[in-house]
Amino acid sequence: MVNLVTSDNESFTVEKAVASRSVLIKNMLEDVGESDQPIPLPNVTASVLKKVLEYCDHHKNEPMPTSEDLAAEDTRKRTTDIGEWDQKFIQVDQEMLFEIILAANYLDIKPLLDVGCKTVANMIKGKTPEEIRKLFNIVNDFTPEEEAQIKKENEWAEDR
Amino acid sequence: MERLILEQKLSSKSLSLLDELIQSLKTSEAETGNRGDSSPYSYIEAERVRFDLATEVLLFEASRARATRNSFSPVNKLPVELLSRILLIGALRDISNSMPLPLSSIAASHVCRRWRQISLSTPLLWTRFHPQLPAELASRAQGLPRDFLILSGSPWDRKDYESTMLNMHSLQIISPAVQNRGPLDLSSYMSFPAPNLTSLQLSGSAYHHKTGYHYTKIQLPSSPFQGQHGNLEGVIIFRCVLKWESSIFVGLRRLDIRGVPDCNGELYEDQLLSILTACPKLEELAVRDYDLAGAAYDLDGPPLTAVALPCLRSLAWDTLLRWAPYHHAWLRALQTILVPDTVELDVRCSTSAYCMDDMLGETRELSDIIAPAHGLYRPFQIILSRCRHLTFGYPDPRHSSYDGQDELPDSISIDAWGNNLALLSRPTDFNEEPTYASSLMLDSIPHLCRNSHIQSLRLCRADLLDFAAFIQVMRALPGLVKIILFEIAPECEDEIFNALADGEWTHHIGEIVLYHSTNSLLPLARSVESCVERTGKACVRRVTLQGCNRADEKAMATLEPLVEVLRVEGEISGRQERGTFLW
Repeated sequence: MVNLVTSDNESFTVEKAVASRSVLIKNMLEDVGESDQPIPLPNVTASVLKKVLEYCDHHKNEPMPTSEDLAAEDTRKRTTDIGEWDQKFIQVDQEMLFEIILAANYLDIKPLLDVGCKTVANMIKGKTPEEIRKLFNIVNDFTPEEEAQIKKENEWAEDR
Repeated sequence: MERLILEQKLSSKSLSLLDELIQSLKTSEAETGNRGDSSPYSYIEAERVRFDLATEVLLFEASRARATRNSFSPVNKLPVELLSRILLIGALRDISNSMPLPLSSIAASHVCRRWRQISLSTPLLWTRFHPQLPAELASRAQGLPRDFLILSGSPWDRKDYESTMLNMHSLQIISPAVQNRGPLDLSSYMSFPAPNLTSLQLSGSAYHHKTGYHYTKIQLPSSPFQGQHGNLEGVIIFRCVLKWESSIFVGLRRLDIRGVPDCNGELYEDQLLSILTACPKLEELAVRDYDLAGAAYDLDGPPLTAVALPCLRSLAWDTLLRWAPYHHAWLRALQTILVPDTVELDVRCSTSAYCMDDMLGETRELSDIIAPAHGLYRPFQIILSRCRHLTFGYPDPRHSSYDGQDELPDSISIDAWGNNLALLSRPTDFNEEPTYASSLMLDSIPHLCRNSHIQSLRLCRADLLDFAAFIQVMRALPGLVKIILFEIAPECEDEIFNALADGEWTHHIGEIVLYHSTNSLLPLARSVESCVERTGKACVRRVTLQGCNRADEKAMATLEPLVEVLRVEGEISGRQERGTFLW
């Protein structure tokens, strides 16, 4: 078993197979060898780690992404499809969604990072800039010069 | 002191503008003091300039305040590399969807300053290129290999694009189907050397005219890309008729052939197999959306030569668009491909009961003959070994294109995905005996039931003539835990309920699911009750009712103390639906 300690000082004891879905933790475990020492995760809160571990537990028996899978990121083979379980798992509020993405990035869990990024990409899909602003609670902060340039870009985009 | 506060609060640009404004005010004061004869116009003009400057400072500072506010939005907590990764997913989707403009990237760059900054500094978001793209947009790719989109027939001067095309990463050519015209010559788009080309998509369209559907006919150059396309890994052909003997079909890792007519001999199974032979490292193969199920298979003709694809990771094979028992050549072609057992399979095709039996027998023999040491199997061997959920019965007549003509009555559709296999028979009027579903079930027993891993068995839209065969299949599966009766005639259900409680069959079922049943459930209640009386244990642990509204209260009162009864509201989900609504 592996003991993980979050930024808000909560402890999680999990199977090694679950924790090792994180390449960061896997490497740490390999470096320190057999040890009872808790692993500090200063960038992850308990509520987020709980979700991340739920994902890792569900996928613990799946093969780890190979170097070929990772290379696929560059060769554009990836699709925007998300598995059924993953879709349900990632149905969380926006704040949690982005926290999960940040945690997956920090913990180096590529498949989870993928699920998070694809979910956000799907949220944006087909939306106008104004709709995206509304979705993410963003305001238009362009200067008048930038607004003029954007207007020009919109004009030729509409002509096409 | 005030100056220090301003320096802390304002941007350097605003400070500089403010300094300019103050300087302007001082100059104006000095000039007014020195020359009281200054004209009202020049005074007003100077005032306007000052206020414009003040406005500029305010607007800039307001924009800065808004940007600071935006930094509190959860999405903007993502670092640059993650946000650009998300935006790249949209850009790649636009390319694969043949969007002429990088619309997702344009929208993203118009959201806010941070998004714009990230968008414009991520050249990968701007690799989409087509000849009418404005230069300003085209330059954002900063020299990266481009994703070309060409609408054949639109104005095009190859000299203008020669240098860009040399740096082409992917090429999509969309050609219309033109009535009464010869093939569209694609030479002018495919005659450049393309050393960086990794993906090629040729898309056409179809129109209906008197003799049926007509597709875009295209003509490829004799030596595409002057033979310099060594990095070409993926080819997609969509609704096009072409000569298939071309170097673009050699050494591929991904091949996707969609909506290609084969009825007029444009792509026969042996041609497809030749292509596959030339692509031994193929990783993804999709053969989908055929308008007909395949060219006629000559049973006496020479056998097809097996093609080994040891690197294949995914195989999508959908040649099922109508009942076409004679046109099962595609099934034969599919069975000629040898693939590793790790391949992801998604297969839909049709055949006849005769060929099905032949194929099942052949597969069974092969599983004994072909040593697993080869690591390669026929797709149907894998389908059978993976099968955990088996479906028999008939498709939904509302979704059927069967018109009762030109087709043999013993047509069968095969639908296999994940660990599911559905074998549905042609709709029948149920006046004949035996029905085709029951024949298929009986014929399948020696082949399918060797697989003791089948856990659930489903029967769709069957009638009284089918129950006996279903019961035989049910009893031949030692690992059976779930039975699903899908829109079954109530009399047929009653017989199956009786069989569950039959003393000769000691097997206990975990769950029976009734979907859209019109049964009163009294026979089921009686069966369960008699089993409990006889053995002390119910023959089924749980009864799930979905969309069933004729259940008798007395039956429910008998059932509920003996078994778990679950009522599910609403319609079935898409996943459950597959394998039942094929046509």
